[in-house]
Amino acid sequence: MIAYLLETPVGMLITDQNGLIQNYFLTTALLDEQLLLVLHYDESVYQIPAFVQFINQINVSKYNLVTETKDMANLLESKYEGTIKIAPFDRKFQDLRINLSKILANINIPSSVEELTIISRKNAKLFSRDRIRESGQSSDVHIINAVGVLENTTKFINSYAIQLREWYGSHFPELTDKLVNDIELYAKIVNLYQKRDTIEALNLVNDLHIKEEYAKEIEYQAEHSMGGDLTESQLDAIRIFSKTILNLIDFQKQLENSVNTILQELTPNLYTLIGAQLTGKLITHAGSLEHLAKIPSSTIQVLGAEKALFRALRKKTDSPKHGIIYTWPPIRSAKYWQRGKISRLLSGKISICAKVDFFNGEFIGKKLLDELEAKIKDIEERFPEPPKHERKKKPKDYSSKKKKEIARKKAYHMSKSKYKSGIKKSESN
Amino acid sequence: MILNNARNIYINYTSTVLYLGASSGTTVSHISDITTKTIYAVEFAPRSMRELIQNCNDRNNVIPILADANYPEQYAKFIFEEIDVVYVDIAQPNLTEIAILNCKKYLKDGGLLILAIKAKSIDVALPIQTIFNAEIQKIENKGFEILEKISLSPYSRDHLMIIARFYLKPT
Repeated sequence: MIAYLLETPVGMLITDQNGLIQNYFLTTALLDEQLLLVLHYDESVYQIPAFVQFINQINVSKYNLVTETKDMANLLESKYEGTIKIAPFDRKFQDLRINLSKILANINIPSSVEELTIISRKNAKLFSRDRIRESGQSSDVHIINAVGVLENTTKFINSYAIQLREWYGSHFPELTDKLVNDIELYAKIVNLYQKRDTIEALNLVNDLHIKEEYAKEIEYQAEHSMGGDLTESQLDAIRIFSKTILNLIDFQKQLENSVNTILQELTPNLYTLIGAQLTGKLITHAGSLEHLAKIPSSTIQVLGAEKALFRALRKKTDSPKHGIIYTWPPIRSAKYWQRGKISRLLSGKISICAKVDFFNGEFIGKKLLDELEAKIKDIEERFPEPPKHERKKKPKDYSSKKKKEIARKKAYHMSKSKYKSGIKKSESN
Repeated sequence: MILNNARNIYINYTSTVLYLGASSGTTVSHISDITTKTIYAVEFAPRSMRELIQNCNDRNNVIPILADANYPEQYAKFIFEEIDVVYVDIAQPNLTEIAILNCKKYLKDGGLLILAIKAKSIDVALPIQTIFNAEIQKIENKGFEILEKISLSPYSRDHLMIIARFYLKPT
């Protein structure tokens, strides 16, 4: 006999074709934890006595069950002795569902639409909240946030550095970025001494552990400064500002350490291959490690260069060679005609590492890095000269907007050779 | 939609709505003010769901469901009545297919599909009108009757609102 397994807010019902209930398993009386097991189709539902009883009952009748979800079929498969058919788009289910109140009335279950709304709403919220909790526990979220904060902190420090130099420069303009390049040292000097008269070489050496000659140079410049004098309160404001910058630098270092530790544990291969910062950025851009593992390496290559990529797709210009993987030092320092080759190579390796890391494979990062370095050397040897052929001409810039639109449409519909002749035609017009 | 001379907002106080792509629930809250029946608000991103659950705490007719609209059977267990309107507002390349799947499974005979098409999330390279025509063709092929097409410009660019009537047995 064909029977429909109908999942409803109040539980599972087994009905025949006319909507008469044969068996049922009610979830209304269950505790929240048990209800969640049912909603998630967890194997542990077999620990709920009522469910076991329900399975035993339907095992006696041996229906030809029709169910909507694959998960439900998988769950029943191990214990149920009859046949199970999965038919998600059988309209019969919706027809039964429409009459749910009537069907439930036959077995004396409170079933007005209002009551069902309350129950369904409670279940849905419980289910959704649980899945939100799960997603909150994934380490991807933490990496993405930590990397975001880290990037912003670096930005803050840089812009604050410029402002501090500007501000303190009114008092001691000779302390330029040529003399003191490191902003941490600069902020420390400002924080410790404030007034330039109090800067002495001996103190500098003792407090900040810098070289004596260097300290003497600073002292000399302080004595012969052309800066204006500031009042105590003005200097105090600058001191507070420099203290903030020092705190930020401290915070940045700590955060960097903890991001490193997280990434080393989570993605040891990627970490070895490209370092913490780039790994973090890639995961942020992809959205999650899972997504990074699933996208093709050609996508990884242009992650972060979306604007250029879509411009290339629309206007048929050259596609970008690299996105954020550009920050990997060997690519940045490579010759421009080698960069595309190297970034293609690197994105391939990144893709392998991401897959291995996501599926908890063994550690191969070191091996891949060695391979990569060897291949980069090979590329450098094989392509020592820039290519001789001329670069592709950019499509002509049309003056009127309408012409642009026409060219764009033509560009899409025509193949490359036809496309070129298309431009010539519109030029002659 | 209303500002662009829509003839009707198609949702009245007796509409049961299946809303796909609820996001954090702004539009859902408007619909919940209009209708006295239930709204099933389906959203896939946990991040948006976080807001949605909090936003509909006081709205007793909204059922927030975290599920993938590609698999409509996954939220069957929360649905217990006839669906009058399927409202689709998702930014996926296959949004029309998702809409059709959900209509096929839940929408009543003669029910309405309200489909917001975002051209840029289907294909960035194609001309907008080509995309719209292709999507409209897909819907018509499945036996829907197009009632109205409303461009949402200038309020949101490259968006088209399609209202179509669904028939179980195409005539």
